Amino acid sequence: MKNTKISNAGYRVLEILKELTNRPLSPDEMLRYLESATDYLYRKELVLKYLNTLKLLNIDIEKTDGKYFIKRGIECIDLDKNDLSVMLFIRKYIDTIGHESFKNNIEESLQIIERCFSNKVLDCIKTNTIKPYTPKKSLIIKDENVKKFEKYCHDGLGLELKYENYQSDNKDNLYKIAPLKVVYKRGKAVLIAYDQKDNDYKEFVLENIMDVKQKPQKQVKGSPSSVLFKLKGRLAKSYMLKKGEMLLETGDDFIIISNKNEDRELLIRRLLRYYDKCEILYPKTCRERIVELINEMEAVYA
Amino acid sequence: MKPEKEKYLAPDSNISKTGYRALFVLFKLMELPRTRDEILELFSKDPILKHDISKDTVTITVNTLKKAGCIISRPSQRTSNKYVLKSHPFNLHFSMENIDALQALRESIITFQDLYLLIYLNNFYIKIAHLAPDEETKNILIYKHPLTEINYDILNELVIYARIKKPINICYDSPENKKENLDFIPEYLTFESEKLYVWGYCKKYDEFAYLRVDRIKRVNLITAYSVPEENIEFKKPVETVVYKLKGYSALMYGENKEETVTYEDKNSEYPLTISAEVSNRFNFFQRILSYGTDCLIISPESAKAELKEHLKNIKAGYENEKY
Repeated sequence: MKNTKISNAGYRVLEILKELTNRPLSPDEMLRYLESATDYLYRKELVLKYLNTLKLLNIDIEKTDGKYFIKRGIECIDLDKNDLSVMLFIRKYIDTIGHESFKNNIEESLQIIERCFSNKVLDCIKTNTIKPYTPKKSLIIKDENVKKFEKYCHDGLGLELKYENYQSDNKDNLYKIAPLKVVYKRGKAVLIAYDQKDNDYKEFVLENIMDVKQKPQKQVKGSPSSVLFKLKGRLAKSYMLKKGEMLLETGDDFIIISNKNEDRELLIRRLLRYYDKCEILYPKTCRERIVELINEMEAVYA
Repeated sequence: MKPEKEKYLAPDSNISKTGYRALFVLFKLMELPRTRDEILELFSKDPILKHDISKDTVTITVNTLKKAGCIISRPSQRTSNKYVLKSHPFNLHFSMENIDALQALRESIITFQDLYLLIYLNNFYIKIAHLAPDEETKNILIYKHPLTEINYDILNELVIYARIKKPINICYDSPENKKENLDFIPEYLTFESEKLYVWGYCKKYDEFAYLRVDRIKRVNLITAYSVPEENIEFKKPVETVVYKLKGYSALMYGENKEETVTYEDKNSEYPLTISAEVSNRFNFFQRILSYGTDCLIISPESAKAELKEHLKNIKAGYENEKY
């Protein structure tokens, strides 16, 4: 018969270790955690005994503000000088960024990585001067109002934007949108939002937003319809699908692709790159828009 | 973990012996797969566990580790009768928010089109991937970037040969001609629209061309013929086109190998004036088309005419209402 017996005390020590890798814990919290995990009551001394066990196995546990935490992970990672140089670069890069939660999450990730440095990595840091990776061209960040928009995204309420526009189909430059997230493109903070009127996602460069009003009610975050386009010839054979794209059909000399996530105006411009080897099939508004854009481009030289 | 210290069990030592044993086995299995006998042998050498040896102890300890979330395969002929630790839940790991931020960081770096930075960043992400909370997010860190299909050995060779403009022969998997061997003199690499290209002189087509690096399957032997440097320049027809940019395109513009911003005025309708040394017209007009109405070609007239011709051809494809 299969032996499924376990050691209960051993299991409790492992559970304490598991929880300590997730978060710092006080002895009382450890006790409560054990009691809820096993449905038994324990004495506080037991927890201290388990901590002694972990320490005896050289698990690096420290105590700060009454809470114990694992100072260094039980599995280490080996990084070389290039990796360390990239880490320094990342720190320097995010220092220039105003987006708090993005910055905090990266900093938290770097701290986790540091806690997993192998002895070899620690030696490398001690014996070498590691400099941050220097890009050929300096990466300049422009995100003055990013905190405000980060909050708007967090609040989830609708926004009314006045935007210095590059589109021609919204002459008054006013948008009613549901803000989703802020990303960085070429160092510029860009708001990604859902536009219910056009049923699509739109990108707004923060520095071009002229005015913004937060509405008291939530703006509907719908699911945009897809744009279908056909690619012909050699392009059909070599096209690499972008994020949010799906291959719908493959013919002898063509492919049909569905694109759901891209800002439609930017997508239409991107599709112009493919000359006459690309045709927008659906929706009709996008077919009309690409022709309108071509007319506008021709008018520039009239 | 701290450096190994010598262990001893003081008479008043207040530890959990079974907990110690569970962690002892975990660490030994983290080093390498082991048989039951090998584990017993290790017990016998440990000052704390040496008095507590039985085959059942190993089974109970492995069961305990499994209950705590370790994935350990059963000893079988396939594993040479060894316990193999496949994963365990005791690693420090990133949260989902950390993973999203790391990926957003990479996506923001991609937009700067700094190839070498992206390569270093990708290598770094591969090494930290085992701190991901699950397989799916681990794969995001390892694979979700535009250089996934690139063979780094080939890329290294191209970088070296481009630096010295050395004639080479490559096996190129062209969408039209399938695999073909091409004599090629690489000159530089560019990273555009999330794809990596190598630019250089292609002998077969007698033109300055750009090839997608992920389609280069092999760098064959260096070709015996040599082309003097002045000859390469001769083969690279260059036309200077001056254009202006405004709006979104001006905001997001990044200089490339062939282009220089010659004038910048934030208060002007067109804040950027750019001078382009065009060596490949197809690639150049791709870029110009993607700027839409944000772009105004200043000179020469032939470039304006060529753009109008392209626009006419594209529009012709929409003249019949098909859908």
